[in-house]
Amino acid sequence: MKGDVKTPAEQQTSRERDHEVVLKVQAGDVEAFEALVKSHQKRIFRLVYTLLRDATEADCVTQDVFIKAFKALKDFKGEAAFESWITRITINTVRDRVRRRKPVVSFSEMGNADDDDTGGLPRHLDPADGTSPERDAMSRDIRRRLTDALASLSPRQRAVFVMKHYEEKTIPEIGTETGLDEGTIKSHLFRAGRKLRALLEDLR
Amino acid sequence: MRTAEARGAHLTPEEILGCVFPEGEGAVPVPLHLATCPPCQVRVTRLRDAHLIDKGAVAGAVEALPEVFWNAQAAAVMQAVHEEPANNVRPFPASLRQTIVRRPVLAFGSLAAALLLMTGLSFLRPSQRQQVAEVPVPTPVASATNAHDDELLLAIDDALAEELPFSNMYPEGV
Repeated sequence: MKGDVKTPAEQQTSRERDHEVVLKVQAGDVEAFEALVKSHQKRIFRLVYTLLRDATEADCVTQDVFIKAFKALKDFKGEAAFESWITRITINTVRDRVRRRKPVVSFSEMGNADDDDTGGLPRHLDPADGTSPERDAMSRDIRRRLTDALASLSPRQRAVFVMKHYEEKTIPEIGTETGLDEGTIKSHLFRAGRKLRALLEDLR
Repeated sequence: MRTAEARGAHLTPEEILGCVFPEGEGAVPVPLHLATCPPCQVRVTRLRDAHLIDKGAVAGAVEALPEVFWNAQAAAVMQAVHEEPANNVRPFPASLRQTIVRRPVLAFGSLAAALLLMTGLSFLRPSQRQQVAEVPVPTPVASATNAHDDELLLAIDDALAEELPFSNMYPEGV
């Protein structure tokens, strides 16, 4: 995920480009919206997929996010970067989706029918490959428990935790993208950590 | 809370999680105990491995998706977006919708007051209509008067036509 990290100059250019496209769409150029979709769809899909662990649902939610963004774009004033704004829409959409689909299905139950347990990933792409079978088995077991523990977090705790430890965002960045203040983010991280600790207490 | 080092025991689950998922920003201080305790190193490494595998699996799954998938997704979004403007006609302006959402009491209070006013007016109007109906309509009496005036005007015209101009202004006997 760090491979996607842009330099400040790249971020600035990207923001300016987004802003220009947003102005075009606001002026009535609907086709210009495709540029925004193309430029952000992978990032949005990855965030949704990390939170939901279901490729089909992640695809649905990603489309939903862009349609919501298009509808709301006329009210977008450009005070925040488009990237942050659409991430916030994403977090809210995922949260609504998770609330609606209760009872919570654990991530490990959402894997492939053959119990591949790589989140729909072909085996040759699994980073666990190439190590000893014992370590593989151990890592897979701990990973399953970790993903189940993540699934037990509240949508907001999960979003904050994933943004910090999977997307590698800083707390101020998480604040911009979720609209939460620093104290609330730290509180969510603390509570998430406490829940994970309880679920992984017997880790040996 | 006493740390494992202070107790002279192994790292607690909380400390292991803290090594892999630090709550704060920046570099995380590594417990000294970890450097000298192979069992604790194994526990931390296992959790870190599991996290990295999970993170790598997610990133790998997304990267492995073909370009066709992204194009289809973008096309689906654009199709929905093109259908949107026709359906995007809203009965109320955004400011009114925002008012309803932010100040529902004020919005619905105003609506109730307006409805009451309309109901009151609709009750008042029929009685006003009856009053108007009861006012006697003036009869067309002007028609007889007009005929009388016409006769008088015609008589004056005739008299003027028969008399010489200014004849009545001359003195008697001239």
